[in-house]
Parts: sequence; structure tokens; C-alpha cells
Amino acid sequence: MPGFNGNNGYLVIEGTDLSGFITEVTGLEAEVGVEDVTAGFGADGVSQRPKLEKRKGKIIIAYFEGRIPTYIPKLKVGGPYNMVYGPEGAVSGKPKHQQDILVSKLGGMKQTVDKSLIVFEADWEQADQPTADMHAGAVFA
Amino acid sequence: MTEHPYIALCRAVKTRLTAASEIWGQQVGEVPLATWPKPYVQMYYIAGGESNNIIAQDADYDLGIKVVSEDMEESLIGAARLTALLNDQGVQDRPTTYLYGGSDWEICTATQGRAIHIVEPFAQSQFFYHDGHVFSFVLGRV
Repeated sequence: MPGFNGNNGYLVIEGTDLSGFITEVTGLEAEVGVEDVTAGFGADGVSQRPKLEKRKGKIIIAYFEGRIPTYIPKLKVGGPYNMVYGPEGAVSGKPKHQQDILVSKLGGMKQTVDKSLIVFEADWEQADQPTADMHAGAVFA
Repeated sequence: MTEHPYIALCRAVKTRLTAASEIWGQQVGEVPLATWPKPYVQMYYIAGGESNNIIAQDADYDLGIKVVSEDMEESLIGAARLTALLNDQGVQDRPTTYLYGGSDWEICTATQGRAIHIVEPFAQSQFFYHDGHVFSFVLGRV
């Protein structure tokens, strides 16, 4: 079975399909702090347990002439916005990640004399815990 | 069937260069015919293909486009006309009349780059002069 190299991702934010505009989805980064729970006398090492999880990531989308007003508001800083992401598309049995996010930064736009592709970069953080967690094995129904 | 973007681009460039009365007349092509008198315009592939900048089909090409003449002043005047006819003539460059790529492809941008200047000896003390530019074109699927 080959490793996954596809670029046919599925990304919907607040009901608007951004799949065709993606140039990068990076991160979907899960972090958890640790808490020292060592107890009692005579312990030779610490015992630790995880604290609350949080996720963050970055979405980079291309500027499409004539269509940008329809989808850039979905990445305006703020939120929460509901995000559904499927790296292999929204196909039954394929990985799914769904959660509310806050867009903490929207930038990256760079218009240059040499006419390179213009993109927007949106950094997001978790607004609420995932309702479908790809890291926990969630898939599209 | 979707047209190949290189065909769409070459047709658009040739159409633009032959639309009005120019010093090269209708003599524009990738392979100049032996019967063509000078000056003529030769356009040729330098680099390009699928850009992979976006998920949809996109393409970019660098073409060398030059006027070949027996007179350097004429070839340089021709090169200046190439600039006027092609530079910043893509749809997104917002010219008065943009390069039309057909029903499958939009020529988004057309950008003049480095100069082409070749002095080609062909007989004793006789030369052909090649003057033009490298043009970069970005295309997107309609």
C-alpha cells in the first residue's frame, strides 16, 4: 500500500467549500501539556499525565480573481468557525477532522512586480474540542 | 478535449503579432520557412509546463520571441514592437485588448524579461541580427 501523496484535499469552513483554493494545509498540530502527578515517598522518578489538548494549524489559499470575496470572509480573523477537513477528500471511510476554530492571524498576501501567485495565509487555533478527530481515527461516514 | 496550453499560447501570440501591418508581415512561427524574406519573427520554447501552483490545471511558459533581420536597426525596431504588442497583455495585466487564449485557457499574465541579442555571421562581413525578448506567460484553465 503506497504512502499518501495526494493533493485532493477537502476543506469546508462555515459551510463554504474552499477545497479548490487550497495551496497548503499545514499543522493540524496537536499539543498537550504535562502535569507532574508524582505522589508519595520513595519515588525514583516523576509520574506525569497529560493536561488538556489543543490544536492549531495553518491554511494557505490562493487568490482567485473574481471569487475571492466569496471565500476570504471565511478566514477573517475571529470566529469561531466550523472547519471540516479531509486530506483524502470527503469520501466515506477516509480520514475526517472537524472542529470549531479561531482564526488568529490572516496575512501573507504579497503582490510583486514579477507577478507571482498571490495567496493568503490563515493561522488558526482551537475554539472547541474536535467533534471528529482525525488523530483519534475519525472518518467520513 | 481540453486544448494543450502551449497551443493556446502560441496561437494567441501569433494572432497578436499578425493582426496589424508590421515589418515582418505574416511571417511569424517556431520554424521559419526557407522562403521567408527577412525580417521575420521566430518564437521558440525555452522552459515551462504545468505550474502546480494551484490544484486546478495551470501552466507557465517562457518563450523566446525575436525579430530576425539583415539590418540591426530594423531588428531593434522590431523588438520594440514586440514589447508593445506582448508585454503586460495578459487578462490580469488589464490591457485594452488582452491576449486571447481560447475557450480552455486564459492567458493571465504576459511579462517581458531578458533581452535577446544575437549577431549571426552568414557571409564575409554580412550578418543576421536577432533581437527580441524572453517573455514569461502564466496560463490558467477557464
